[in-house]
Parts: sequence; C-alpha cells; structure tokens
Amino acid sequence: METIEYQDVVSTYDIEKLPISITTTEVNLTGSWKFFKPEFKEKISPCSAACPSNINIPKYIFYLLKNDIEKAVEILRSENPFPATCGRVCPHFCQYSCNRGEYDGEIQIREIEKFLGDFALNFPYKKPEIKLNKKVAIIGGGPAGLSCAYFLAKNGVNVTIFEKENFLGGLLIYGIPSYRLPKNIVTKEIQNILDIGNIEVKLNSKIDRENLKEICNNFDSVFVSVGLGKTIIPENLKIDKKFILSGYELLKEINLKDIEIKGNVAIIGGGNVAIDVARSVLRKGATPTIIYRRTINEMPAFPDEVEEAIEEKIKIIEKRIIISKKIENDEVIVRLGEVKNIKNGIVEYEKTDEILKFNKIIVATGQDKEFEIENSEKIFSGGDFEYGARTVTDAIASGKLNAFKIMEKLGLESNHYYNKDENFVRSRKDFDKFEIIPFEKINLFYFPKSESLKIEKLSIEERINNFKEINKKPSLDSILKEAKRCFSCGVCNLCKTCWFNCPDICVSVTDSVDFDYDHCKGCGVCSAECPRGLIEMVEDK
Amino acid sequence: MDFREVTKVEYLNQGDFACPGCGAGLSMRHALKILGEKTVIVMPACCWSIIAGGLPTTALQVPLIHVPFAVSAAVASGIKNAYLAEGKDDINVVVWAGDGGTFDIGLQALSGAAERREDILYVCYDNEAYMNTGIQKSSATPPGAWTTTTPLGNPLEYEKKDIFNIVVSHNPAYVATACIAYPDDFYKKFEKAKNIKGFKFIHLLSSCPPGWKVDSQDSLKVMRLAVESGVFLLMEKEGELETKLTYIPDKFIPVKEYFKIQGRYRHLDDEFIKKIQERIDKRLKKYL
Repeated sequence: METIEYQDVVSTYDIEKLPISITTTEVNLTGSWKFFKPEFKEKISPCSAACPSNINIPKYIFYLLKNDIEKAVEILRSENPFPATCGRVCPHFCQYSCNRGEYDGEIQIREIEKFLGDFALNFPYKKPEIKLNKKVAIIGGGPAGLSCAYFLAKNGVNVTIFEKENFLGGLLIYGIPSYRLPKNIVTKEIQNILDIGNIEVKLNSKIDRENLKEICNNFDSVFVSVGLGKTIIPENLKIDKKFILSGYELLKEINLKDIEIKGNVAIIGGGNVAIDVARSVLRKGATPTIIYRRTINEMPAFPDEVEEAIEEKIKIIEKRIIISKKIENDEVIVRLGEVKNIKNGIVEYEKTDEILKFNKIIVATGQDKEFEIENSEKIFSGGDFEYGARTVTDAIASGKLNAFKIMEKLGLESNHYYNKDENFVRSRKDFDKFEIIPFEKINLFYFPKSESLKIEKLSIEERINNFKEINKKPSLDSILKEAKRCFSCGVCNLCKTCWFNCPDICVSVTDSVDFDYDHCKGCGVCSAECPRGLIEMVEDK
Repeated sequence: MDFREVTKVEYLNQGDFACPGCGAGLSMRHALKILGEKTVIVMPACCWSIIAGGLPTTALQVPLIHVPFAVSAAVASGIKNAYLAEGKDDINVVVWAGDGGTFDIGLQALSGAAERREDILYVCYDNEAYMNTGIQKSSATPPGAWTTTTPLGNPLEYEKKDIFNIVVSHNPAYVATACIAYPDDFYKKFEKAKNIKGFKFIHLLSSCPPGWKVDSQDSLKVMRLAVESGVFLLMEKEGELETKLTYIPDKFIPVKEYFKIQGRYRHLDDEFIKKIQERIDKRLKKYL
C-alpha cells in the first residue's frame, strides 16, 4: 500500500498545537454584499451652536481629557480670546442647550472653560506668521473691539484701537463688579492679546461723528464698538444730580474710584446692571432696595444673579414704580405706585400709601447710543453699540464676526465657515456637515447616569462685605470628572465604540476613523452604536 | 468599559461568511480576544460551520475542528485529555455550538462532559432557531416566535428550555449567561471562565438579523432590549455560590418593546404578549 503524503500546508509549530488551515477568509471580499456603506461625518454639538462664539466645546474637552491642555486652550482661544472672563460672566447659553440636560443634568461647561481660561492666562499666543499691508481702526476698546482686534491681528492685519478712557477693557473693567470678575484676570487676558503684536493702542482718544470721518480716510476699514455711552434718566425722576445717578455711572465710580456710599439706596430696574449695582452698594456698606415694575421672575437679569441677590437679602420691591418725589433734609422721599398693567411701554398704576426715604436713587433702566454712524462700506459696527445691551459673550462674538467680514471686505483669504444664516462662525472648518446633533441621536447605553458638578460658593457672611470672587475654584479632579460626562455630541473623541462593535473588523480608529470597504458588509452596527451620531449609512453605488 | 484599552490583537479574519450584523460573529471575535491564541475551537454543525469558511480557508487564527452535531462536548473532552496527557495544561479547549447543537442534539454529550468534570469551556451562542438551515424551530425558540416550521408562531404551551439551570443541576465549576451588547459583563465572564478549572458553560444570547427579522444595524440594540425587558437575564453561578444576576436594569421595560422591533413577533396579539409578560414577571421574581 502506498503511503499518503500530505501537502506541506501547515508549519511544524501548528502541528504541535493542532492542524490548522493557513489560508484566511480575507480573500472573500464580502464588501460586495453591501447596499449601504458607513461614512464618518463630524457634526455640530448643540452647545457649540448655542454659544455666540461657536466654540468647539466637545473638541477642547477631548483634548483636556487627553491631558493636552495646550491644544485644548488653542481650540478654545481660536474662537474666543476671553475664556477666563467668559468662564466667569457668560450666562452659559451652551449649558441650556446641552443634550445631557435632558438626561441627568447639563455639563458645567462654564466651569471647564474657566479652568482652561485661568490656565491660559500664562500661555502667550503664537505670533502671526504673516504681516499684511492693511490698516483697520477700532473705535472702543471693550470686549467687542478687543475681540475684533484679536482676530484681525492674528491674521496679520495692522490694528489701531482708539479708546476714550485711559485703560482698555471697557465694561469688563468698570461695568462688572470684581466679585463676579476680578480685574487682574481681564487685564491679563487683554495683555495677552496685545502681545500678539500688530496692535497699536491710542488711549484717551474720544471719537465722535466728526473725527470718525478723518479716521475713515486714514484706514482701510473701521470697526465701531463704543457701546452705549448715553445715560437715560426718565423725566419724572429728574432731580438734583447729587441724588440721582445712572447705574453705569455708579458702577464706574465704585470700580475705578472706590467711592464711599452709605445709607439707603434705591435702584430702579431689573436688568443685570440693577442687580450689579445693588450687590455692589451692599458690599460698600449701604442698604440697597431694588424697585422693579414687573415681577422678580420677569427680570431680564441672569437668573443666577437674581438668586444670589436674594440670598444676600437684598430687598426687591416688585410691581412698583416711583410716582412722586421730594427732597427733605438731604433725603429723597418717594411715593410708590402699584403697577396694574404695562402695554407698549405705557405703565398703568394705582397710587399707594407706601412712602420710602432714600439717600440716593440709581437709575438702571438702560443706556443709549451717543451718536449714530452713517452708512459706509468701510464702517462696520458691533457690540452693544450695534445690538443694544447684550452679554459680554455676544459682544466678543460680534467682534469676531465683524473681523471676518472686514477681512472678506479687504479681500483677505480666510478659511472661516458661515452657515446659511451667517450666525455660525468658526475660525476654521472642523466639521463635515452642518447638522446639530439632537438628544435622540445619542446612544444613552454608553452613558451611565452621573451627577453634575456642584459649584461651591463663598458663604453669604463671607461675601457681603467685600469684593472677593464668589465662585470657588473647583479641583482639577472634579473638572476632569465633569469633562468625562460630556456626550461629545457630533464630535469624535476616538472612543473606539465603532471598532469594538464591528463584527467584521472593518473599522480602524487611529487619529481618524476609517472603514475597510472591501470587507464591510454594510450592517450599520457602527452607525447605530456610535454614542454621538457620527456615522451615517449612505447608499453604496 | 473603555474600548481604548481592549487588545488590538484579532484572532478572527475578515471575510467570514456571517450575515451582516451577526451577533455570533461579533461574540466570537471578542471571545477569542479574551481566550487568546492558546485556544482550540470544537464546533458542531451550526451557523459558525459556514461562517468559518470552506477549506482551505479559515476565519479563525486558532485551530478549529468541525465535528458532528451530537459529539462536540465529547470531542472537546478528548482533545483536552490528550493535551493533559502530553503535559500541556494551558490550552483552552472551547466548544462553540449553536442552540440546536446544545439544547437539542448535543445535550447528552454536554451532560456527560459536565458530569465527568471535564476542564473545557462550552459556549452556546443562542440565536433561538436553526438559522443556518433556514430558520427552523429549536427547543431554544421562545413561544410566540415565528420560524419556518412554526409559521403561526411557536405555541404558548411550549417554553424555551432553561439551559442555564439544566447545566447548573450538574454542579459544574462555572455557569453564566452573557451577551456582547453588554461588553463589560461579557469580558468579565469570559475572563473568569478562562481562569477557572473544571467544566464551564456560557450561554450567549446572539441576535440573528435575518432570523429575527430585525434591521442589521439594530443587532446589538435588540439584544439590549432582551436584557432590559428581562427576557434574557445576565447571571452567573460560580462553584458552590448562589446564582446571582450580574446586571439589573434600573427599571425593566415591557416585553412589548422588545417584541416590537422584531418581525418574528409581528403577528402576536396583546393577550399573547400579556401572557408572556406574566411569565417573565414570574421568572424575575425568582431571581430578584
């Protein structure tokens, strides 16, 4: 009988274990089975769409968690040069639209921004690589003007800032009390912007309609962001200047000159300035009383601010207006009326017997523009001057938007991205598709419920007699823990869920996500399992 | 579980013949990642006999022996003992069988191996019917489910065999249920089974998009719904310890949610579903 000789298809090592076929199934190109194929598309997170500056929040959180703080700061500051400031005073529009809010509490994005912002204070910006032969004048060195200057200077444009005061920062310095925003933070952030270069600053230069024309002739473009400088005191309150002041004027006096205020102070209004004034005079040792014509819930001030004012036992009289006043023994005696109805700005009220005595009356019912500008292709405007009283973040965003508009106008190449309604501006395109990820697209299985970060504050006793910052600095651990909660909606954080769940090993995740279309059977598991809605199944033609 | 920490080494090749979205394919991929290269797979007739590819190709990078339906546990016992006789006691001999080859045809060999305390791991990937031959009912098919041999649905009088407790009654070293849709649990249980000496049995729920009539991309979702609704319980019994649930959802969802996304339950009326729900509730009470 012949002996059978086996083909040498297996190695001796294999035989030691057990015989094994050595041809793999990789020769079967199962990719031909598919009707749909997965495509990786980075999208927009709702927080980033809600942020006036459109910061790519999930992306900087990703780098923070990767322990690459430098890169995180770079992403954050590429959209907003004031992270430490916004981390304190921004009314966090991002957090209201956070998808996690519908689940177990929104991410405290502002705290993370503040943490990175504080870190960034000691990080100088990269110097611009180009210097262009273009000159832009910026009128007003507040948040909008500085933001515009930052984006222009970064792109090589020569900027000259005209500021009427003898310091830069505008409202950030004299409009926001130090217990919310310490001055040294703002000064440091401004200095970092100026250190980029390409920026000339002219202090004590008040610009009005007349000398604006001259500037227009000397510069390629002009950005006006002078804010609202004109005080409005209603007719019925016009009394001796000694007794009446506007909210802004008083804040300025307190923040710059450290003036004394004693006695009873009435504050009229329900906006942020009214609350800031009340809390500032409380800290100066006076007794503030807020008189507001609507109810507390209708106040336009940020809810957190109102809540903190109430905690500090500041008296708020709702639905009242001052209907008559007289001056007696260095005091203003006022009678209040109860508001019945407000229609088209006309207040219907009933006389009451409530009579109060004050040493000062502060009107915080809004400011107005000092001058109008004429229509010119050269002139752009932003900040409160353009949009009326809004937030610091809105001002910064308008500076950025206008910087890009100016660059476009000057014919400079810019790689920013506008969406259709021009509301979305990033300084570079870092997404594949303009789609805001809704809550339904999040695969909740991968996110066990967890509590959001609790922000610690100074106790009421510790804070009412000084201007110390109220919010304490959270620990690094708690910031990282909070950052880990981020769904990272629409922005890949290389979690490898797609790779793990692919039955055919067709996904590779390195610095990007790639598919092996030769073997992908098009099952779509990666798309359904992606925790953040990044993978789409498209028809395979 | 952080997927970034899972080993990148693969013991499964691309180009296998699993249907798109196959739960068994994914389960094998990860089981081998845990068991490692010192593994021998013994496989009776089942879907995976096809998935692994025809000679001379193979989808696995570990030795694989195709054996007749009824003998998988017996062959595995033989291989293990042969290795032991050669003084090699670090080889994982694993039976990878479908529900037909476990609940029905391979049950006597399984029982025998468990009784002899063979040091093997028996994995049953349960897709609840003979899927590869054309979706015929097995004794793992749940009541109500459509198959080609139960075109009106598996009768309510039938009950899916309680394979977990059948094996538990042999008093083996380790018995568990698992499902790749819960990767944490899956990895822990295979890790445990790898390190325990004695007879180990893992019952895997394994979705079958064509047989269950679900969209292939919902392959993991449907398994997750089975666990969240209490249809499939993730549990384990280690040696002399009591049986314990390893995952309990915050709140069990109604079984209707699980049935809704599967075409094989589409014909069921509310009364039938109610009776199934009662059965599930009764069973849950036993474990909670």
